Amino acid sequence: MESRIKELQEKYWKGESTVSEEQELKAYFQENPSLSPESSYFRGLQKMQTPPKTSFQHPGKTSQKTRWYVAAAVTAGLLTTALVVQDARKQHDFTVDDPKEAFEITQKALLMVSSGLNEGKSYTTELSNINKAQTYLQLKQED
Amino acid sequence: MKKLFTLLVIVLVAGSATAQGQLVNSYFEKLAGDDTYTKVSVSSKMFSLFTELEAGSAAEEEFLKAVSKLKGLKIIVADSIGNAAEMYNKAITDISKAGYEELMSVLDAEENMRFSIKEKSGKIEELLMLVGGKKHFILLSLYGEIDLKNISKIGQAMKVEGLDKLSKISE
Repeated sequence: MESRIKELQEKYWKGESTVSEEQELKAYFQENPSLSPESSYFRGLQKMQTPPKTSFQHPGKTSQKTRWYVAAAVTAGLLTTALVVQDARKQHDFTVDDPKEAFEITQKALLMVSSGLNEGKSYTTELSNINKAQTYLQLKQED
Repeated sequence: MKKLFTLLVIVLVAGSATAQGQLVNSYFEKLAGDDTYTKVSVSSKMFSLFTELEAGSAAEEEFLKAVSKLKGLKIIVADSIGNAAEMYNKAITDISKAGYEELMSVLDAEENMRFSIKEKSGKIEELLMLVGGKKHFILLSLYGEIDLKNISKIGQAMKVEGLDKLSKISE
């Protein structure tokens, strides 16, 4: 066996070996590892040719689908940014710049909201009074 | 893939940033050229300036407490329009379509009023007030962190202050 390996090695270094003979050499050193430089050379070759367990995609070979997703995301991102900028510009037209005026407006607006909320509350109170009256009447009738 | 993820995150964040006050914004856009509607917007920067003010009275104190966590105010008002009822009904449809929850409605012979809210993890982040009368229309949006208790106290404090002044006059 060893003479065969020697013969194959000689052929390899002369550049006369066939692919199957090279495979044989690599397989041999894989199975019989030794510290010799030839052994590590052929084992190294074998390792290089074995596909790694975790495969990765070459960046140049991005699938068509992913490309579409990226394109869609970029477009959506640009559109949103454009809309936000446009929106901010439009809003700016109505924004109050004077702090005193803004304070007065906010005060009035909050007072309006507050009285609106309280108006609703007073309706609820009236309703609960009606409920109370009804319960009272019912109790009276039972007596 | 990482890049794609980052892009998606950016898109989502940008989307949520525009979400607050979105409904009123769309009305701002629609009515931009119409002068019969008064449109006012108070920015979050202004609100941050208010927090530096000192309260002079109890009413002002309640007011400052209520605005301390607010981030913006937008109002659309019209005093004399022919289609106030139509605008009110359309706004109600738009509000429910935009996912707001109804808080309270007061229907009156003179005017209708509806409060709607948008909540996020148990906190009110936007309060919409819609008023529709025979000729007037109001759409108001308050956003930020809203405490209804504090807001309703403003009105009560103002009323008390008014009564105080009245009692002083009689003296």
